[in-house]
Amino acid sequence: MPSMGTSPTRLVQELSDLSSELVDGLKTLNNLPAVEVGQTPHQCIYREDKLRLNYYPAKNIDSGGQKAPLLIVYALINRPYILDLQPDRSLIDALNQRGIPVYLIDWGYPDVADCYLDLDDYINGYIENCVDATCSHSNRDSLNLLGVCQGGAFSLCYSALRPERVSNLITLVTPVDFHTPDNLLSHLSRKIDVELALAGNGNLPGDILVQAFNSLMPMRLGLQKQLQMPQHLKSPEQALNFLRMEKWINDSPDLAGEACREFIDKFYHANRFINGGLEIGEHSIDLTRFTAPLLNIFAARDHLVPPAASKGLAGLTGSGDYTEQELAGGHIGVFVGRHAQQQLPDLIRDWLDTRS
Amino acid sequence: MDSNQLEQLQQWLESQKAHWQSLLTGHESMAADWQTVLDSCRNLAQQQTGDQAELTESMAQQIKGFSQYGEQLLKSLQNPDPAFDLEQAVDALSKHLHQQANEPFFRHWQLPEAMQRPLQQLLQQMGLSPSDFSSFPFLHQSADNNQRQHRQKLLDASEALTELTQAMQHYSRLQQQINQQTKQQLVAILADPSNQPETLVELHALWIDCYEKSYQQQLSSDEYQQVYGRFCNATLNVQQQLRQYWQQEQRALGLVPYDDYDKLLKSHHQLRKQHTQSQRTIKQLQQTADQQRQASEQQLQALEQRLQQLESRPDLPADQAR
Repeated sequence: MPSMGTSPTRLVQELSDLSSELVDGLKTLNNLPAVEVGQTPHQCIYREDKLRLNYYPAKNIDSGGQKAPLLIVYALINRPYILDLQPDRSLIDALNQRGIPVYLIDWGYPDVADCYLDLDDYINGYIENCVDATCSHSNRDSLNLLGVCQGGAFSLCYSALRPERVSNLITLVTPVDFHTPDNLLSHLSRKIDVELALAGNGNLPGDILVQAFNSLMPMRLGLQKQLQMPQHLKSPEQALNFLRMEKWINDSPDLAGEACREFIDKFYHANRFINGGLEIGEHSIDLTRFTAPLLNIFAARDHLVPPAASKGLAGLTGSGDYTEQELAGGHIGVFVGRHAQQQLPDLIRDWLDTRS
Repeated sequence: MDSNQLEQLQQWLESQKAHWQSLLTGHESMAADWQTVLDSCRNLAQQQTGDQAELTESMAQQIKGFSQYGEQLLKSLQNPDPAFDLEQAVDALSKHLHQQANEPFFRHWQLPEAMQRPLQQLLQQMGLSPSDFSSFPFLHQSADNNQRQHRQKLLDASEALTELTQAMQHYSRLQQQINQQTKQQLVAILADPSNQPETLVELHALWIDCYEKSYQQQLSSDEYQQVYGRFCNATLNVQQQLRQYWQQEQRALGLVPYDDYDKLLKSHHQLRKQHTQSQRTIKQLQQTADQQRQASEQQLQALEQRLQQLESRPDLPADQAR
């Protein structure tokens, strides 16, 4: 057996402790209330098909009056409530506390009836309509736009098409160069036959996506997490924190087939931001058309969108006021990590305040 | 879980602890039945979401496997076998952990149950149970059917399964390489007395670190990416074969198969696009019309003002000013 610095007595103690923790954990789970997410007060101000546009009013409005609205465009992958996971881990609430009114696009759960939705529908249709609804609701002609991950790529496209509607653009953990050597997800995705994957019901099943993400670190995200789970079940509060994140990880909507196919073709395969020739619907995308301020935030230990993939934006944008900011943490930790609750919203508030 | 079930769980814990203690004294008492824990998880599942239930059961399964391995380790610590070297020891750990990892992985793919013999043999060689896989009916149902289309379906299915078998074998070989590299790394680490883990959890964590390092190396290689893609595509293709079979059956029964529904969806989407485009055009035309109306109104106002100015000029005769 392996060379161990332990004794039989100690090993028995360890096994006994682990079993006790397991039983305690099961008892904790037995009395646990339902896992709730997205608890920051909000109202739906616009709906179209399965999309909902939610409004989160600012909480501390300073003497300077209401700040400009911030419209958040989340990715089609996973659910946007990661931005409002729980009261003390909520980027949205933190922004509200800093006086910023937030509007969040919730794409909903596409089903077979949505399989022909394409990027034109999402960007020139849904996002455009949400911008209209946000501007109308806030009595403004333009707004600030924050795109997260794939939503950042959508936001770059939209702001290039309609630069007059976007006063300031923030991209958060957004892939721009899809062919950096360290982008393993991109390497793997290029080997999958998308047509076959979509053949089931026209959409890409969400569980395939969960499996693909897990396949990047299979043992750490599998065996190790499961074995350490009793540590997270010591109290109802800890258990709820753990299960909220687990809920989010596994809450993966199917991707609308045509949009998925187009995104993989244009971005993962052809790397169109970098190589040019990107078209959304009947419109060519020229990132130099957006000349307003742009803040590009990425995470130092992001294994899904490596920093190099985000930094590619620097050489492409037409913004005369381009800022890059690297934050500690990984793809998700950058906005749900405990320390991130202060750093990221402060950064966004300060950057916007100096440009309003 | 009700109070009775909680009591059973507590009894299980006491019994299991007593068993481990008995191993120390050399008077081994009977181990508690892990089925009690798994039953508790299943009872708990009734009040959990599907994902939570799956996670809870995975946790119990991992701790069960971990404890069983720990028990083996305990016995070997008490009765060290000089012939059992470090490499063999790490090999045993790797086998245990690989088994723990493989089962959920293959379960995820929901491969067909009654797959052809080579695949079943392969699964058995890998220590997996073919009974975990869901049904794949057309292999049996159409076996005696001599209609051409069914024969073609069977041929297609056979080809798809052969491809899946080969892809799985190739994928399995790479997994074995990763496992081998992991073992080598772990042996190298454990050979240094200053790296000796003090707990089983530390040993487990070391193995995970070594595995992830080896896995990342493989993942970055073109060969692994090709094989991963081939395995995924072969699996998707088998699923596609199954769907196509059912489409044929649905059509024969007068039901609407997915392909027909899909055509309707496509037409619906195209109509919707046209409608959206028409709405955009109408909106643009309205805006243009509004702008032109505003411009006309402004021109009209300017003319009226000019007219009033002219009418009020005293130097013009009244009929000329008009």
